[in-house]
Amino acid sequence: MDETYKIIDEPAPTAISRVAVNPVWIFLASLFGGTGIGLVWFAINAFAISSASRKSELLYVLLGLCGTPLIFVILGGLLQGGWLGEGLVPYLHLIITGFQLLIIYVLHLSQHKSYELFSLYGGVGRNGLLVVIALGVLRPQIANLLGDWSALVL
Amino acid sequence: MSDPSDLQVQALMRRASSYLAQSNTPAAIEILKQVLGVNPNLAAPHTLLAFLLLDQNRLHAARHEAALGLELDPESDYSHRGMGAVCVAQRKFKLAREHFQQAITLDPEDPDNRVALADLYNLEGDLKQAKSELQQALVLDPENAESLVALARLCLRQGALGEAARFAKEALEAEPEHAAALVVQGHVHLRQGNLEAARDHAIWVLSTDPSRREALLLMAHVKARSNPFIGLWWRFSVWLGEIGNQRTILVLLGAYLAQRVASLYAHLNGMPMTSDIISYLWLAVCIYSWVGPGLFHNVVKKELESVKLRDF
Repeated sequence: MDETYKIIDEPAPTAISRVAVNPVWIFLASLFGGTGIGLVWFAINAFAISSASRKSELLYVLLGLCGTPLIFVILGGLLQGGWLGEGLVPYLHLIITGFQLLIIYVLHLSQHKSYELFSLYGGVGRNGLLVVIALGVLRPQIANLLGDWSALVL
Repeated sequence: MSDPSDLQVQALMRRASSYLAQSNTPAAIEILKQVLGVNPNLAAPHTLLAFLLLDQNRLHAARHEAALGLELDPESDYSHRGMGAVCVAQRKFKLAREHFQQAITLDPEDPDNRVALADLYNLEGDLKQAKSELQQALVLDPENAESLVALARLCLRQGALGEAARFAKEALEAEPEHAAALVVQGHVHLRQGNLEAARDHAIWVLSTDPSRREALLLMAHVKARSNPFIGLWWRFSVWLGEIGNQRTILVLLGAYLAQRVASLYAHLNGMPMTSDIISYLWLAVCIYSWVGPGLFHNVVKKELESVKLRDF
């Protein structure tokens, strides 16, 4: 019997399956290394694990990448226009942190399911611990390299 | 003379059923894939596959398979029951009710259709309707173990422990070793404070099927009750599981932001110690939520290892 039915969410092997990781490493990388780096990694991993919800994950990545600068612009505009007092600035940072956490948490939950399926069908994820540590250690240097953009990217 | 592919399909379906009886979901799925490889136009294997995928929490694929089953045989009560189950998992209760009611219309004599509808009512909190459906299911088949177990679960939820125990016992008389009935009996013991008996019931089921989810849950409840430190995490985890992913995200994010705002407010208003205390408390919660699952799994794992050593 040669023919076997294919279930719609079965991951198909891809050229970059070898770089697949458990999304928990990307979640940690986002916390220690910066959200921007984590979002890009989530996008790559969506292809690596052949995630069934890849489209929505890529949309979340896009939302995360565009959302942070957008919130900066909106809040900056409100501050400059005198709609918000200067005393609120420390609290306003929390809006950006909350937004970034929301995006990476949603992405983590979504990819976690796909990763389980990837593992169920014999896929093996790489250990991302060293990358997470490296990103955490190198974060100040990366921030220096990015200059003013670091607030938006990390 | 029968078509060879029909015979092949029948043989495969028998093998799939055998794996199902052993709760071996992955093996049953593989066999169903072979069945559908031979003939993809069979409704029942698609629907059965949908049920199995639901068991693996693969909602998207389950919906696809249930839709295929329904498309291939819209007059089958089983197809509607499959789609209803998918709708329940998606928390589309109204649509689920329509499918279950359609299943009952198509085959009013099948008690399983009424049990499915009763489970939905139970989930929605309409215990009166749930009980009514189960009583009708029992009229159709007074010895149907599934109906009796569902009724026992309902009584358990209502706190009627005596009735729950009676229905679970009747289910076991109809079908000895019925795992779900044993688990209900275990929960009755747990509610009565008899942890040892509850644990024995969990072990009884797990000794024949170590992956039985409801028995693992019972065991987890027992362990959580006997260890308050781990029990706190378990109860919180169960609660998060009940409210769903979206609300879980909101709760966790809300808690994080609330502590950050509180800590920041204290810091900016000349209360550095209060700010530090809030931050350290949050750190403690984070460490606990990180360590808690590991400790909990170790405790349950140890208990399960002891199951292998016991002779039943």
